[in-house]
Amino acid sequence: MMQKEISRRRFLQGSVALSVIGGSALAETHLLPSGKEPLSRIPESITTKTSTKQAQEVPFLCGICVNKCAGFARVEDGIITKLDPNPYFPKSRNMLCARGNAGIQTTYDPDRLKYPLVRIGKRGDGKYKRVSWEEAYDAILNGTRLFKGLKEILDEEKDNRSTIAYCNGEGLSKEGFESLMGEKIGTVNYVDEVSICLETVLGGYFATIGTYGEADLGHADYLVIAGANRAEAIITPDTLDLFKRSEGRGLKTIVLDPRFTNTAAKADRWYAVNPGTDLAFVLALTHVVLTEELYDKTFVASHAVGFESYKTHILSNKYTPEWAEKITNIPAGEIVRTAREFMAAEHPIYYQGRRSVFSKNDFQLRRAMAIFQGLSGNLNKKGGIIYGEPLKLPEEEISAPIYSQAKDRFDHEGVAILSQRAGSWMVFRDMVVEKKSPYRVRAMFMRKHNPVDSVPDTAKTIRFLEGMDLNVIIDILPSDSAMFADVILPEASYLEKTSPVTSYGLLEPAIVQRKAAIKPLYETKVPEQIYKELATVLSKPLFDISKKYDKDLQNEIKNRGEQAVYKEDGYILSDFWDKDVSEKNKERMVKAFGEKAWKILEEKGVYYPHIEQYHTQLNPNEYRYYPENRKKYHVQTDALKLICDYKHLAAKGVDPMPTWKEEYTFSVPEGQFRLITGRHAQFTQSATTNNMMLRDLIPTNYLWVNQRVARNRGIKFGDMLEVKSRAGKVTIKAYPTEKIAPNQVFMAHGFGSMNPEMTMSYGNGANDAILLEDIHEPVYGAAVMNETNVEIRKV
Amino acid sequence: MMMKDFIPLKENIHINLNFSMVGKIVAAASVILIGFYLFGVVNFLEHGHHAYNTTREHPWGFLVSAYEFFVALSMGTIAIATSAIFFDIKALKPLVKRMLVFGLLALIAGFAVFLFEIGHPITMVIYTALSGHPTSALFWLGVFYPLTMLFTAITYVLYVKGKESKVYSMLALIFANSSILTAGSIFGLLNDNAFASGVFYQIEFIASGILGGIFLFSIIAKFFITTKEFEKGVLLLKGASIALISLLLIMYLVKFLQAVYGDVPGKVEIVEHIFASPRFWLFEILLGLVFPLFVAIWGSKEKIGMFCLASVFGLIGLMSARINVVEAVQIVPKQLMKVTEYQLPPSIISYTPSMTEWAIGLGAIGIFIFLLFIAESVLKLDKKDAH
Amino acid sequence: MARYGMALDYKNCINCRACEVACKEENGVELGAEKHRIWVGSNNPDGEWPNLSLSSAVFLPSQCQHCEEAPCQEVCPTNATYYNDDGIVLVDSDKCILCTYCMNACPYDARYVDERTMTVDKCTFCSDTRLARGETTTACQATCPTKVRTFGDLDDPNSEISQLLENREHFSLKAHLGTKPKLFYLR
Repeated sequence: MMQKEISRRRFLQGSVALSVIGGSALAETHLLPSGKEPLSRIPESITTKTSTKQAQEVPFLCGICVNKCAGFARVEDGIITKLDPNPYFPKSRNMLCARGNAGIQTTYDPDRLKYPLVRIGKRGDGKYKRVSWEEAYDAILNGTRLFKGLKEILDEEKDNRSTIAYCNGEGLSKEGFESLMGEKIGTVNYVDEVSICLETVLGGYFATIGTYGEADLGHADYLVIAGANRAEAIITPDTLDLFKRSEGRGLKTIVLDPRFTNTAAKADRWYAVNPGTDLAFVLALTHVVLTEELYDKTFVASHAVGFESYKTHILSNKYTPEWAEKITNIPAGEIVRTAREFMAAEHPIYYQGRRSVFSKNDFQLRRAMAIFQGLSGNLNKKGGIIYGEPLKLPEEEISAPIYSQAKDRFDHEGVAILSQRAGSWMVFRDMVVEKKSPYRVRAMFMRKHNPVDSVPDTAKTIRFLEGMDLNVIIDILPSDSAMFADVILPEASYLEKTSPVTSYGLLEPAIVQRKAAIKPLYETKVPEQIYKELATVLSKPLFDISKKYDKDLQNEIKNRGEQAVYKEDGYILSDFWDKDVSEKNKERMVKAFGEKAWKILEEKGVYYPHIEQYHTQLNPNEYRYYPENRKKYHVQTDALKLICDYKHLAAKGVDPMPTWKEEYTFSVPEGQFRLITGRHAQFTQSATTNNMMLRDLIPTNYLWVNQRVARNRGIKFGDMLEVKSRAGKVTIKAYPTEKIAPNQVFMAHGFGSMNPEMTMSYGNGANDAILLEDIHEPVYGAAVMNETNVEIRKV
Repeated sequence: MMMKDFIPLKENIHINLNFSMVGKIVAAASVILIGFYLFGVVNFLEHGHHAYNTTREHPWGFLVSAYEFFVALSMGTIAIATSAIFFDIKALKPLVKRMLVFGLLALIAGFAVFLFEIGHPITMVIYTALSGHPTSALFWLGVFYPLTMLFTAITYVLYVKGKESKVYSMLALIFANSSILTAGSIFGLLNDNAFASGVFYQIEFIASGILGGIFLFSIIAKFFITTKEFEKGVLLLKGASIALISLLLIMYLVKFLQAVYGDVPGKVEIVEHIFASPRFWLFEILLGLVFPLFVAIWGSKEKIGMFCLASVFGLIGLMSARINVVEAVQIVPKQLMKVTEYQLPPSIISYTPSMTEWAIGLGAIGIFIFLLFIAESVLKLDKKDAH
Repeated sequence: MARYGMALDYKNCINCRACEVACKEENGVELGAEKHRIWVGSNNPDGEWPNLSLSSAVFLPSQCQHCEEAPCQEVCPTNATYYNDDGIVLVDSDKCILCTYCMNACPYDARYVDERTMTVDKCTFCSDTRLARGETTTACQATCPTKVRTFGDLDDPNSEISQLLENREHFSLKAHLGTKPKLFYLR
């Protein structure tokens, strides 16, 4: 008892915290180059109370999801104690979400990759040796006893650079990695995360109205939001504008979602649409609008292309509300009502949404949505879809070598319009695994991307990785994909790095800069430094291989001499990173906006012209960023058009006008359930499930099962269920609820890590990628997430 | 001055270990219980409050029940003994010394539980003195217990010396009743608690505390000191127990009727929960109240054996009643909404004591019996010891 | 000397729980799902799929109400729970004996045991962190995406909160208990 009394002090660090952090002494010994003042330390407890002392406030840009909110990191004695919102950024408007606040725990995650590692066991068994960075780069170049290096692989492949493939998660250093792998090292085989994300959304909108645009939810008065869960998948400023004005406060909100999401909870009406049938809903809305002639005739007359043929198409196919009712599960009367209300509204928006592809018809769905929006004429104006004007930063120039031995992409099987830049993750993987590629793909470079958990059909992705001669991963945490890597390079978290300046926004554009709040912990490095160092190591040896096989290069050398070609034609792979990120940022900013702009950016993390005059505080919560008359509601643009009939698509075998096909119809065999996936506002895919703070909020994922179905099957809350699809099976806890249909089940994506190094998330919950089948949509080859049926069984 | 001047120790202290059959069983049980208690304490020292199953929603557990049981028993016993002196009830006199001492020992057994229930006992002593808060029922317990103990001790010492002090016995009686009233008020003054708030628990505590004293008196009379003259006292108290049990049963009836009448939220759930509990019906009502009442009314008018047996059940019933009250005031959640997606909507909060809690709470019974044994051995408690 | 309170435009709440994490990070609140100073209440909507009642699905952010007649303060035997000069209800952990009486007396479930100090912990309105540094918002208010909360001095007629309460209808939780909560929910 006495001991308890004595040790009782306010905010004494917990024993839990101690045992989890464990090696704080260890952490301090190796952090610093000799003799320097410590610039980063590891806190002794997980949650660190902020003090009343003076602290540094470093502007940063959140990197815990794709949205990029701005904040200030409070740094006390080298420890980040708090992340606060940055009131200067018009996009995120003085807020950080739960994940944004918990970002500290990513930096201080005890499970972080701390040192470069080289595999010494079998792939997947987790045996790695801690090595120096030099040794790690050497292993990539020359391999080890257990795996081949790039040199040997490229030699064997006669300098076909495309034998190397790479992928990269979203982020500000993504372009740099693309430059390294694509332009400098020279492979065409990039599998961009957009092909498991929103490729069809962007494609569909650009093809139809010439922009994806921004939805001005701050001034819209009617909103149809389908399959976009803005309360749980936060996108700014959309989420902020929407929910301040929903529930009878100016923005009438109609939500379509198979599931009763938190967004549905805030809606005026919720339609439990059958998965993958939104297209029928939009076609029926269009039918109503065309038959009742409710559309904006002036706008259509001046901007629409192929309107008459679209009208004929819709009417002749009889896309009536009654037709759609059977397909969508939305009553015909409700469809008519929504169509009429939409066109009667002053500023109606059919929200574009941004999310991964749910069904095979997604591209056509986006086209139909964009056309429907266009019919209202509410484009390029206040309260509509904003075209706006981004702030432009000077392009960076890169000197890229030309490798004549590098072969072309091949991942277009079953794909109409393959993006040469982005490719298709799923088709690429499947063709490699099924040995359908015209040449061997032998090395995979992954950066901040976890394909094992994010590309549908985990078993197949593992087979893909196991088929490689060399897997390299650059990441912050030991993801499931890292289990199959031969070389693991530890990257600094976003709070430890200064990132390339970026421009955001169309309506209220701004430039933002992420600055390192602390020095990278452990032996981690910022990505640009890794690119540079790796490039330095690879330059000469890879050049020597090209010299051996590349006839064009041989000729050039004959003509100009080896030294000149090596230097001038971009073969010094590291030259793109001669200047560090801060230097480049300054250069680009000063060039575009002047010295003063750079100073403002450095201090505030945000810059836009006249920020000092424009930016004012309205009340304790809200700020004005631009005066009303300076906002880019309406701009002169050639992009403004409405392509109803896109004839060019027909040549590629894609419907030139959105067309419903019988195969799109939603049906689930008796005894099975349609698996739908999605997320909650408290985690970002598999990247945050090891975050201790966020685990307090959502400890694991559950399988949503309709309550009546659960009752019939004797399933209670928390019961373990086995879920089985053609691709694989998982076990997961049950969550009986009326928020889902009797023939559907839902699980949040991102849980169920297989890597024991992730002590918080290992074996916790289930990974939906194991269940999802390898289905892709036909236009871009983007992975389709909601077309897998499963069986469930209580275990 | 000698210790004997203050504490009336026996002239020849003799610890008699030649127990009767019943004595052997009781001794063995108390040894086991003390072992159990020590196990609980070691567990607590190792894991702290983690060893308990108490939660944010259910912060009071079995230890509070056990503590309340001993306190009520203690105060009831003292109230009977001091009443005997103050009101000069001759039939009870032969047991007065014993009851005064046993009352104090029951309080100590209660403290043996409380020590591990409260988080910081030393802080409690310091800050109750330095910054005590008069609006807190718990603060007044801190005032009334020492005063009760003091005046009870004085009454006992004087009584052993042959002086029946009206003043001290009255003060002890008043403070014992104040203590028990305050203990009941801890529940009765939970204003936001629809079920607990009101006058029920204060009165229920007094009635059941005194009833506990009666049960203890009867048990001691029968199983420890089988002297004929005690039986008169038991028969007298048996009569009083009829009144007290009847009062309690009427109070229960009215309380439950009031709670279910109109299905008042915050009350009716509790009654439903209580009615679904075998512990309530079997221990608290049947064995604890109805059986003693039955025996008291229809049992032998001369022999006390049956009533003394009923008293054992009565005490078990009272312990059960304390568990039920602590549970009843906490099972309705204050947070009626979900605080995370993946949980069931809050309904009745369930709580089951941990092994450590059982060990400390029940183990204290062993301590109590052990203290009784020591007291029997060293203190002047019998008539022959007096004057 | 101020009389601090908080107005909550609770219809803005989307149950993202940014406030909860901001609170934990700012104030060094102990890790653990049960260890929350603030929270967002939600409920399962009434009805059966697909006919669910939208109006029954409510998100209600909450925390200590900093009552003017706080039951937790009334029952505290050692005055460990006290009102500071600004009317904020605080716990002096040096005086707390962990009787947990306050936890039972609080009508709002606003208190829990901090197992590092083994004393009762609760919302402080950031008085020892942000307010002590001269800031004028709490962590939960500052971080909120949809700006649910407005913190301020109820005695200052010009403060944003006073203006809000003057112009908007509002209610308090369990007001009938007479605890005089200083959290106001705007309709």
